[in-house]
Amino acid sequence: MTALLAAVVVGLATGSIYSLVGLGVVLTYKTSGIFNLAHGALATASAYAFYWLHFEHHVAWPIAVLVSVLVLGVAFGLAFERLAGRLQGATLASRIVATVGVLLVIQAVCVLLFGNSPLSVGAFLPVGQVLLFGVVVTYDKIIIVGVALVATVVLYTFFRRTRLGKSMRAVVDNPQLLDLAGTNPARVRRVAWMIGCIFATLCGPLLVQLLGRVDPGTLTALVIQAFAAAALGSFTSLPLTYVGGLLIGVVAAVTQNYFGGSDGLLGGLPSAMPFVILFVLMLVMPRSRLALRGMVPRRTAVRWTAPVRVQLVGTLLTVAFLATVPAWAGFQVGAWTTALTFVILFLSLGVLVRMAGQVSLCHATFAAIGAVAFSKLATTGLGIPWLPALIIAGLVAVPVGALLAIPAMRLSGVFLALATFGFGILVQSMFYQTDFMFGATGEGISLPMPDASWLPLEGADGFYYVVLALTVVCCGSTILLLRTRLGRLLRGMGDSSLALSTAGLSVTVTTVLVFCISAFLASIAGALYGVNLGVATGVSFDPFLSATFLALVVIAAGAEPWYALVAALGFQLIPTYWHPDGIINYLQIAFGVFAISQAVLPARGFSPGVRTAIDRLGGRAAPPPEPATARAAEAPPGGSRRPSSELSVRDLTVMFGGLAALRGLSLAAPAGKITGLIGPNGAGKTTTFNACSGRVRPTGGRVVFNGEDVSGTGPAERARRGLGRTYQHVELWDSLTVAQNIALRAEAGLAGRSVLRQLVPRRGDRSRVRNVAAEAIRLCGLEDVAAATVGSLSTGKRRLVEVAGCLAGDFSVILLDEPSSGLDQYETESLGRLLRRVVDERGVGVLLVEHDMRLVMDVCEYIYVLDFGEEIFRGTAAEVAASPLVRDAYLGSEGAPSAGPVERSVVVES
Amino acid sequence: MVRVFLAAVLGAVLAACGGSTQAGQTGTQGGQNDPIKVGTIQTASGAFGQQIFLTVSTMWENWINANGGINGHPVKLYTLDDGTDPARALSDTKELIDQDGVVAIIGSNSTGASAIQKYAASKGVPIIGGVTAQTVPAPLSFPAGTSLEYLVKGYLSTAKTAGLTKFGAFTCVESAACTSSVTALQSAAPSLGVQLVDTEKVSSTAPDYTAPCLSMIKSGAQAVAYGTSPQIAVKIIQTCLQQGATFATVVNAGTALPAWANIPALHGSKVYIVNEVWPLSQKDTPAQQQFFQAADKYAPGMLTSPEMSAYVQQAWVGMQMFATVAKAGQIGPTSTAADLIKALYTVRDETLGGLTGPTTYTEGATQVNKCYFVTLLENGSYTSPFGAAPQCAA
Repeated sequence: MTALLAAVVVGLATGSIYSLVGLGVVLTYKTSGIFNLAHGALATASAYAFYWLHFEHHVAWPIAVLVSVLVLGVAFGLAFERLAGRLQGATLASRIVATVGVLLVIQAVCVLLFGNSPLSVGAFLPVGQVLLFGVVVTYDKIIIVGVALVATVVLYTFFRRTRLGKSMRAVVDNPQLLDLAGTNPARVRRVAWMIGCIFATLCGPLLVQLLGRVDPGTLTALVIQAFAAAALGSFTSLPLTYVGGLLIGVVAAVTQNYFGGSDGLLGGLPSAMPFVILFVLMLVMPRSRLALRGMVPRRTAVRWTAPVRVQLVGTLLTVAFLATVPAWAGFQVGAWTTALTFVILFLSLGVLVRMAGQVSLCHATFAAIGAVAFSKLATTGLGIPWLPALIIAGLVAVPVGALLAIPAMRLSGVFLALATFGFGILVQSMFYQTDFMFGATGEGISLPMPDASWLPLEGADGFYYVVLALTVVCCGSTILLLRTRLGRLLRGMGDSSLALSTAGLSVTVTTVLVFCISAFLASIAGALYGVNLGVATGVSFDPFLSATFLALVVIAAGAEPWYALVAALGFQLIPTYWHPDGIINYLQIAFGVFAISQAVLPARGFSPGVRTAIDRLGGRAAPPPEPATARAAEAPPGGSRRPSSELSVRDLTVMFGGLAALRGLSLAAPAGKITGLIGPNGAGKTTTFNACSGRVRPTGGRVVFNGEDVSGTGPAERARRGLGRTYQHVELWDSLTVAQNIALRAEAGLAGRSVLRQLVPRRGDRSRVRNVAAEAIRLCGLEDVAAATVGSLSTGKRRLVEVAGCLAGDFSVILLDEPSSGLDQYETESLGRLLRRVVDERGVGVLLVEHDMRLVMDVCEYIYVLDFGEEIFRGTAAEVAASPLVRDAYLGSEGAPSAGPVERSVVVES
Repeated sequence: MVRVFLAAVLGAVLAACGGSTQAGQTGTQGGQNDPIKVGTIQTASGAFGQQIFLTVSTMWENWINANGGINGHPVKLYTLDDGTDPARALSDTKELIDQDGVVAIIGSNSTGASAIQKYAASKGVPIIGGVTAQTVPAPLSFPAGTSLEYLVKGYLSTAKTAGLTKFGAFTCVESAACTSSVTALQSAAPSLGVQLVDTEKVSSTAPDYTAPCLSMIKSGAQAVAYGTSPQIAVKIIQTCLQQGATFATVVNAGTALPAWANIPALHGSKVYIVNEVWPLSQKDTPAQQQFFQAADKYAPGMLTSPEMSAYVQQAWVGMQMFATVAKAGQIGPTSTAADLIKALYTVRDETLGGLTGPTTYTEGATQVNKCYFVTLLENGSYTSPFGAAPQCAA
């Protein structure tokens, strides 16, 4: 019992450090929406500044602390505010890459100024001692416990009670609203960043005292351990983060007490505990508690790729060039082999990041698994030939990839990044130095070369050609993957997974598939890398390398597989051929700056002139022929697929926190009719749609579709049952053309939740998709823009594309959320006629949310009117128009019903 | 490429001047100014990089050439940094062997040891001294300081001689460089009559080590080894002392930095240092004095640098081992690696004038170096508790 109490005391003291660091992480995320992976690097910079002032120039410690904390904190705050401003609307990967860039720059600058070796320092805070339950606790630790506690209380009070604090919370959720309320969001953001950065820099001197040293890497790694505390606080709650930090400290100390001296995996558990907790939290924490903050949807940049002919010639030239390498590279052929293994590794990451829009910070770990698996298969006397052993090594990583897909299914963005990062460090801490992986002796694992005696080359040259052949196969497979159904689904996922699930696709299955493919390729790359080394140790697979890999893949130019080639050759061959002393630090700074600039600046690529020239060279002078109209005549006759369909909601209630967005709503949208749902902004219309389509789980009541209660099913399942919808903010795949968008809507529904169907279409699927897409394009009058990229279209056209997508899907009831918004009067009238025609010809049911009252009155047979989340009236168009209640609540109060989208409640409508 | 081009141009010029060597020449033959080529690979940048390893390499090259080179020939030491990247270490090895034509890789402290050893062995090029040759026994690796296996036996023997038979160890979880010594401890302890009572795994990035300290104290360990970086080790020792630990510390000289003598928090505790090469506190023999003189002249400030450690000495000793063997074996610019290996196998009880313990290389066996020096750091002063002479394991 005494030992346990002692462990608790120790844990509380250690946990306070996690709390302190975690508070800073949460603070910046809470107020900026940017998860700052460079948080630890800011602390490092402050620690070095303090060291320079106090230990090298003997400045009194209070002044040194003030300068290193406040001056640097304010400077970093201002710089980050500018950076964050530029990152508004950037993709998640770009945000992560930008902060990784900052981290790399700060670390390299510190190494250049102070050297790579840790600098041991003495204590500057008092180190007197008190005895608590048999544990000696020093004053400096008590000071840190106090600072963490006071900071939590002060910050909590600040955010709850002060106007500025409230503004800081609001600035992430809705800066426009804040602006309307008379508070300058830029100023609020600046102050928030300064406070957040001061918190980061405060950790610098405190941790110098505690650790007794300053070095470039420890604080960065320490902050990652504190991410678990931040996760326990849902990355938003300061008190919970504080408690979370204490909890991690206590759990680690208690496990140390019981397992610290154990051999094998359990012995590594206490030191890995923060990462274990982080990873487990990401697996089991309720999704609702991990809401992404401050993510502004951004249209995906329109992708341009060179014509196939140009790419083909480029590929042949590249392969021909690479084939000549052994003839002139001499002993450096091994470095070229390594570079080729990185091509495969970066392709594996690119499939995940660039194609499917996911994030991974554990690809070094996948590579390590591949190397280890290959070594064990090829050297344990099982008699497995080299190539099968390589393929099996790839397959070994597949279940691990599937495991990582669990957080990917549940989480998005930065939480997925953290889960994968935590996983990587967890594997290193618990497994790398055991017999499961590289062993504890430091000898490493042996990876044999293939028998290349059939090649007229020996050793390194022969292996180079083997790896070149495998690289070509992997590149070819990736390009082919893009042209398969799964490839199209992945591209769609990269643009909008929401649109895919709305079309009926089980994105979960797709996510598992892409993680498995990615893990397989990364594992192959790791095995080949290890074979090239001959003997591999854990040093080659440091999990922190994964962040650099991600940054490289995100910032490298070109489509598949060019980005992987550019990144790998640059990463591996620049230091091979150019390595004067200390160049690594300068290269790291250059890389960091480039990463930041790529994330901040808009992607430029080739100028339009060059693109046109290349297009002409590749025979792409004219737009591709319209794929849809050619077979329009073959379109299936209109008619309801499920004539008896009906969507109905009964006593539907949706609560957000204590706020009722919907209360006891009942309505029905039968097939063959257009039903209207109107009400002022904030009335609960979109919430109704979200509850009907499965995006929001109702607090009470039922959603019934075709007579079945679907309240417990997800959006994709409801879509597969025949419920389609559009979004107020338009969910499309912006990098695809109009025709591809509409076709993918249909194809995603056909792929559904079957693994097999996501990989291989049924016979006839292709023509079916083509026909329904052609019909939808014709119905919506989109023939003239069918070949245009959706990202380049006006809002009105984009809405029509979304409607067309709905019509291409196998839906019997469609929920349309303000489809006329952005359309001119003529287009709106056309839309009205289109809706009537579709309903009449196909028997489809439509539930229409619309502000254009003329359209509503023209097309709707029956209308429900909401206000403040409750139904206030229902009836025919004429009855609604005549109702004084409706006029008072809606028509009378707002005048023009198609007013702008200023929401009454951000929480309700977001 | 520029270097290759320059080398080609220089080669052509030398050939035109008649300075080239002829095939079949061996030994000390060759032009007087033709250098004997050797290489060294150091982890000087990246995660575990120490710039000081480049400094000591340059220092040795300057010193040896200022003192007449070897057998009347200058020595060209190709110094490469692996950036803490095993792939770079392998590439560096190939560059040294296949491009630069070195006869040996000497005094290397590289984290890519395994890759270097495997490739160098496949090319018949010896690796002499440095951590690279001492950590993992491998064909054609010739350790000039204590091999890891015997270093660990040195820990246990030292503890036992001091009457401390209950042994413990802290080891970091991030690197095999940490765990390797613990693995060796586990296998060697029973045969040496020492009980390994506890091994605590710790993270190098942990904010505090009180919990593992309490576990170690609870285990009753009387002497504790540290498979961690020097900075982590000293932090753990301080933390454990605060918690009332009475156990002695047993570490290698690479861990016990010279700066430890000036840390007041360590005063009152006993730190047994098992030195792979001669203790830095000794400046008794001419060979030992040469190191300090060379440092003063060619690397001023190196000895007081925060990076200064026994690994710097080990690099120097590896290079000196090469110089001694090359001199004795009449190695010259046209000698081959095989000539050098032949000379290495003649080494018997070589101490390099007091730089290392008696070293013997035996043909047909994996080379190990079984001798070490023991010093005791207590209250800021170094003593030799068991005498200044090296101890050698059976």
